[in-house]
Amino acid sequence: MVSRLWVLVKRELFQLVSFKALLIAQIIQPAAWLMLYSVGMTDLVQPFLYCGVPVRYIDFVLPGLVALQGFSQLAYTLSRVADEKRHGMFQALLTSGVDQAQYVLAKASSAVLIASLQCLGIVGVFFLAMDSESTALKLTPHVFILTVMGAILWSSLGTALGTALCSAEKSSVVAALVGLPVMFSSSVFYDLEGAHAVLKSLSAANPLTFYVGALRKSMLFGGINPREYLILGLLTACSFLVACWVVGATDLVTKEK
Amino acid sequence: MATDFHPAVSCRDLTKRYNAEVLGIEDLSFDIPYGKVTGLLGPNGAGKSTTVNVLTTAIRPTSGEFWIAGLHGKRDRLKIRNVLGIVSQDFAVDWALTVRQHLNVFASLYGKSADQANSEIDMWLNAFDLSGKADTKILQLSGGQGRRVQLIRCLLADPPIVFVDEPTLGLDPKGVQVVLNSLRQMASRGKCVVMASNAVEEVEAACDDVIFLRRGRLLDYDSVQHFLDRYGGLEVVTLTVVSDTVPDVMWWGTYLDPEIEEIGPRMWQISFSVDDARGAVPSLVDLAFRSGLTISDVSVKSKTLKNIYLNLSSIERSENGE
Repeated sequence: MVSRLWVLVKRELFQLVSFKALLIAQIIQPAAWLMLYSVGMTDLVQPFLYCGVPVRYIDFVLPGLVALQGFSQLAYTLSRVADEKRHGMFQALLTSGVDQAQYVLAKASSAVLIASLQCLGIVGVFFLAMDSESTALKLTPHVFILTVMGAILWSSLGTALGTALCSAEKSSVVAALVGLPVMFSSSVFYDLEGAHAVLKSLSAANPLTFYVGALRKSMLFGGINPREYLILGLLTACSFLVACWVVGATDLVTKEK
Repeated sequence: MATDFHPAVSCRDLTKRYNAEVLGIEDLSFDIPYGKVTGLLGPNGAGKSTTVNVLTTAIRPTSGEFWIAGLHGKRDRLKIRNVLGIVSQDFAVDWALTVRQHLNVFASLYGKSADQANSEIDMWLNAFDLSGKADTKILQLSGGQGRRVQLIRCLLADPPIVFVDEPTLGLDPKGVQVVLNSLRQMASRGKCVVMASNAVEEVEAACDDVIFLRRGRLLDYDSVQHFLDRYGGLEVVTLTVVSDTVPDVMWWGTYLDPEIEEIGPRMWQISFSVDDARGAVPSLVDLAFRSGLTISDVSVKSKTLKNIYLNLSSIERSENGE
C-alpha cells in the first residue's frame, strides 16, 4: 500500500517538475495577487473591526489569499484527473494494482506540495515586504497544518468531480461553475458580518468559509478553536471518502472514447 | 492459468446500450480460452471497443453477465482489474515523463524491484527497437513509438489475460511484426490475448480464433482455419481496366459491393468477392466489355480472412440499403 502510494507520489512529482512553467506560474500567481490586489485595496479600505479587533485590509485578506491557493487545487486536480481519464491513464493506473485511496492520495500529495509552495511564496513575499511592526499577522504552525488540510480537502473534491465527469471538455466549465460561487460566497475577500441574509446563509454552508475563518484566526490571533479543526478534519475526511467512492464507482473511460 | 478449469473470459447475454438510440453490443455470449490469441473483428461500429471496455470493467454493461479468470464482472469488478493487461486504442502514456520514468513507475506498481524493473525495461526496449529512446520524453516520440511503450508496459505486468485494442495502429511494418510476435509469444506462454482490430491481415497472421461482430452482435466465432473453410469459396476477382472516369459498375447487379481503386492515370482496379471465380470471370469480363471498359488484366485471389471480412461486412451494408 505505502510503496505503491510512494510510486504514485513520485509520478506526480515527475509530472510537476516536467511542467516547470506551470509550477513557476502557480507560485508567482499568489504573489501577484498579493501585490496588485491586496496592496491596492488596502489604500482604499479603512481599517475595520474583525471579531472585535481593528484590522487593516491587507491583514484581513492575506489569510484569504492563502486559503484561496488551497482552494485552487480543486480546479487544478479536476482538470488533471479529467485529462488522465480522457487519455486512458486513469484506466491504465487503476488496472495496475492501484486502488482508489492510493489514487486520491497521490493527487492530494501533489496538491499539498503546490499549495505549500504557494503558501510559502505568498507569506514569504508578505513578510519580506512588511516589517513585523506594521502587520498584525503571525506565522504559526497552524497555517501550514491548515494549508495541508485544505489541499487534501479541495484536491479530493477535484478528484471526485474530475472522475465523475463524462467528458473532459466539461472540466473547465465545472471548475468555473463550482469555483466562482464558492469563492465569492465565502469570506476570502470581505467580512460577511454585515452581508445580505442570503449570502450569509450560503456562506454558512460553504466549506471555504470555515477554511478561511480558521486560517484568518490562526494568523491574526495566533491560534484556532479545536472545534474548527474538528469541522475541517471532518470535511477533509468526508471529501476524501467521497473521492474514493467516486473513483471506485465510476467508469474508467469517458463516453468520448 | 492454462490449467484453470474456467475460461479466461466468459460472457452471457452481454448488452451495452449507451442510450435509447445507441447500441454498443447486444446479447454477446462466448468463452475465450487461455493460450490463444483471439481476434475481435468487425467493421467500424461493430462493438469491438465496447466489448473490450465492458470486459475490462472500464464501463458497466446494461445487462448480462461476464467472468474474467473466474471472477464475476459485477461482484469482483475491482479484483478483475488486477488480472488484466490493457493496451487501449488511445496513447495512454505519461507524455511529460521519459520512457524509462514511465515504465519504471508501472514496473514498481507491478511490484518489481528497481534492479528487476531496469533489466526488464532494457530487455523490452531493445526488443522493441527503443533502446536509444529510454531517456527521451514520451512527448517527443512518434505515435508508433508511443504505442510500443504502451505495449512494453503491458508486457512488464505479465498478466494472465491481455486485451489489446488496435495494437498496431500507426506502426511501421517492422513494428507490426514485433507487436504481433510478442502477442503470439504471450499466448504460447499460456496467456489469453484478446485483440480487437480492423487490420484483417494482422488478425489472420496473429490470431488462433476470431470473433466476428456485426452491429453489436456476435456473427460468428471460430478458429481462423474454420472461418476460411466455413466461408470457403469466397474468392476475389480483380479486373484492371482503362477508363477516363470512375468505372460505372452500379448496374452489374449480380455482383454487390465491388471495390474500385484508382491505380494510375486512367487505370482502375475493380475487385469483386465471388463464390466461384471460374464461373464469375467470363461474366464479369462480358459486363466490363459491355460497359465500354478496356480490360488490361484479370486476376483471381484465393480465399483469405480479408475476403470473408469484406463479404460479411458487405452483407451488413446491403442489409442497411447502402
